[in-house]
Amino acid sequence: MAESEHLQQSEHLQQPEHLQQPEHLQQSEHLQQSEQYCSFLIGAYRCAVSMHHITEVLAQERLTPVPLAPHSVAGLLNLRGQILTVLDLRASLLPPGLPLSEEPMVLVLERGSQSFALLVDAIGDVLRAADEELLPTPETIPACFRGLTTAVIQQGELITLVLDAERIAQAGAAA
Amino acid sequence: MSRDDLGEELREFLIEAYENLDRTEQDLLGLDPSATHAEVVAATFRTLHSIKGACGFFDFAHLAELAHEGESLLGVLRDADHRLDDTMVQLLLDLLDGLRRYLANIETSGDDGEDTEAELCAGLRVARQEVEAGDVERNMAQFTVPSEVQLAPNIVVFTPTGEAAPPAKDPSPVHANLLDQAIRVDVGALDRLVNLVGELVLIRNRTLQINGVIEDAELGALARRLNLITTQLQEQIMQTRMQPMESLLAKLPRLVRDLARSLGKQVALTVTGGETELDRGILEALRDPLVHLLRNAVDHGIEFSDVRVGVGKGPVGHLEIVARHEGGSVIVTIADDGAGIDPSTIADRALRLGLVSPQTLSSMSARDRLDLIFLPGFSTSEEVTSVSGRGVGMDVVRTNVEQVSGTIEINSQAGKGTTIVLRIPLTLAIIPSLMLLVAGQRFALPQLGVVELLRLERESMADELAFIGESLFLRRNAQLLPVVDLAQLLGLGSTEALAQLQLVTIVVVQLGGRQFGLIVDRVVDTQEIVVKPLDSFIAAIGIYAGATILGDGEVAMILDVAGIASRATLSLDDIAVSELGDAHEDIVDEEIALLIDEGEAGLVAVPVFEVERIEEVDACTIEYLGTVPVIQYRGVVVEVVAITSLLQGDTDLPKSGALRILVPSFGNVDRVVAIREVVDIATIGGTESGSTIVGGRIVRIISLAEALMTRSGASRG
Repeated sequence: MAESEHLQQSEHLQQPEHLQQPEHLQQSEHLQQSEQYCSFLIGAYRCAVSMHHITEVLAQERLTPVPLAPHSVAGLLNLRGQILTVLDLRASLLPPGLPLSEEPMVLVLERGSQSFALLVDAIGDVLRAADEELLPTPETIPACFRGLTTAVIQQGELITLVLDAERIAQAGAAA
Repeated sequence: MSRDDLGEELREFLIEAYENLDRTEQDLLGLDPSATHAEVVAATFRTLHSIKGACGFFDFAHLAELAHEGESLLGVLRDADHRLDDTMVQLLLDLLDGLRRYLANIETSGDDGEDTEAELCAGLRVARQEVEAGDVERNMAQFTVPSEVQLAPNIVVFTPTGEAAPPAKDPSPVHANLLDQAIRVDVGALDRLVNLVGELVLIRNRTLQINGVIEDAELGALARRLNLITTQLQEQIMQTRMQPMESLLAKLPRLVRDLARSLGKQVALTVTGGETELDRGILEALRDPLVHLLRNAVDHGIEFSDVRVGVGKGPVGHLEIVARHEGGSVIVTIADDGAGIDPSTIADRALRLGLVSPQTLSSMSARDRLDLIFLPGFSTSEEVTSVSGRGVGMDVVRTNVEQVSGTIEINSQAGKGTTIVLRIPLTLAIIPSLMLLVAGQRFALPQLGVVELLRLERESMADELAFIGESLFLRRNAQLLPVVDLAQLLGLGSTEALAQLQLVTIVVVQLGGRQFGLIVDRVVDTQEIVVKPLDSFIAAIGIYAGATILGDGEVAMILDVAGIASRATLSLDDIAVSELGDAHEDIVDEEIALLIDEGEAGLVAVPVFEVERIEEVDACTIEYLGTVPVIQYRGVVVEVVAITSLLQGDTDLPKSGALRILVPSFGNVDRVVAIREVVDIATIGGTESGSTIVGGRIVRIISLAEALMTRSGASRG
């Protein structure tokens, strides 16, 4: 697995206002039960997917565009002989016209026996969160994200949306 | 319960039981004079006995009971040296089916379930008692002559070749040998191996490329060895996926037998070349088309015995399936000596169904006309199936065959029989392709459908290409082929750019019987590519057959010709209309005309180019505006003129039944011409009204343009 690249950007990223919550939650002490999440950015949104579903993180290579495919398809990628569909949910999640970051990354996700990839703007830290740290998704999260989000993690000032791999795949196929 | 949940022993039992049943069925069906009945009975007995034995171990009471009844019957048959007549063979086949039903139940639920075969058990008991009661003599008397005809009214002769010797004779040594030398391998594991080898091939390609750049003796030697070994490995792995066609062909005698029996026909089936090997996946894909073709042959091709005798053939219809290797393909021939197919009947039906325009038809050879049977929609009309009785679902057969990159060819002689030739590639995992550049992006196009490559210079473009309305056409061999701008179709460019080009590259491809052109930037080269599947939602776009990885590691989409055609909504109509536009200029003296039979009024010829299409309407939809008969055609009210009225003054239109109308190709359609029946297409001299002789009959030529104009002048005046 590629080294998760620490994201300098994310530390001083301006969070969208509705994501900022005033109260500071105490971090749980029971980390035995905790799970690891790989965090990443889609636009300015901090998201994460359980490490169970992530097999690999790649720097974005040249993708082969698929003419006439839904706009959620960024292209196809050769991962050591396996052809992966790379989804790009930015178009359906973000306001139009936002450019892709300069060093976009590709997350390889597992969905059952099938793999697919997700194009993201940047990769962040690996988060550890115990089950009780997973909070219900606030109503303030934009609707398009809420469909993909199973929970949120708040650590310090940062709120991270925990996305579900299966839902990401479905959103990509449906768009 | 899924397959995987079954215990290992149970899986083994099921696989072995299925195999034994299949072999027994072949024995029963292959009752040729060389295998004695006693041997077949003994072999069947052993099969049942081993199933019964295993049942004790697994505790399947119902299966055990059925196997037991069967075994008892076979025991009596064996002891009495009873000959197997048709009824008995049928009963035993039913027994095999009954056993298979239980096995299927065990496979899905782990249990043999309800006692569903009580009737069959009773039948077996009755048969046993009859044999025991001394019916032996009667049967012996009836079936003493050891000739195939005595066996049954519906004979299936199965002649296996190669290794498929009847195991009945001495099954144990053969079996033991096989078990010693072979192991069962999960098909999924084989598929993964093929994929891995595909990867290795790509790495090999890459290495060879790098070797070309870096000149190093050691690397060169390594690259050559890697190349050699990879090639051999690839061949060997492909070989492991090969399966003899026997596994598919062996199922056919039973099918033919059952079908012949249910129809009351006599059919003798000969199968040769069962040892011919083919990729497992392709073999699987071939099953449905083959079954369909056999069904057609028995159902529609081979006549009833009395009909056959009536036309001087033997009472038994012959059906022959031959499989063999030729070059890199497998050829499967299905030949019957039945009634055959008349191309003109096919052409006529296709015309009436509106599947083909008269213009297109007129330029078609008898062969091409026969191929109309493959058009989608040909089989959907009930009229066709009942009248011509052929071509049921042939478009589906063709689609299936083309899906595995095969081709299908039909030859038929009316009265003599029909031969269908399937040409199937040995493997699909690696296919030769053209690499194309479209709007700067590389695409692969399977070479199978490619007819030719054209490069048009700017000067010749105007001669070769023509815009008709929005659509672009290519003049080719006196035909106009629709041309698709791939960049535009893929949403990567536009036709304005086309006008600026100095050079146009067109790939002419064939799909079914149709050809069309694809405009590309250029053709890069040809490559053997490894086909990789796409995610289902990408495959659903419909224009990609898969994707492949190129030598430099990049992914390229594989274009699907059929998908492109349907995306570009190419249809025979487009081609027909386009020919129409240019037909006028080229015609000098000769004219192709529709021959119309008007009953008492005789034969009438109408130049094909004057007819846009032939429609069939219900006569009761004719309404009258005053005394003028009208009909609604495509939402417009048009006058209906009987063609006979153009010959001899006003005549009445039929009041009911189907009515055919010719839609003129000129001017605004405000009148259509009612006819009785188009019977043929003929070449006639000139287009002026008058008469000519076709096939010894006088034909009156009518120019619709002239006649309708005169007529409207007359009615207005």
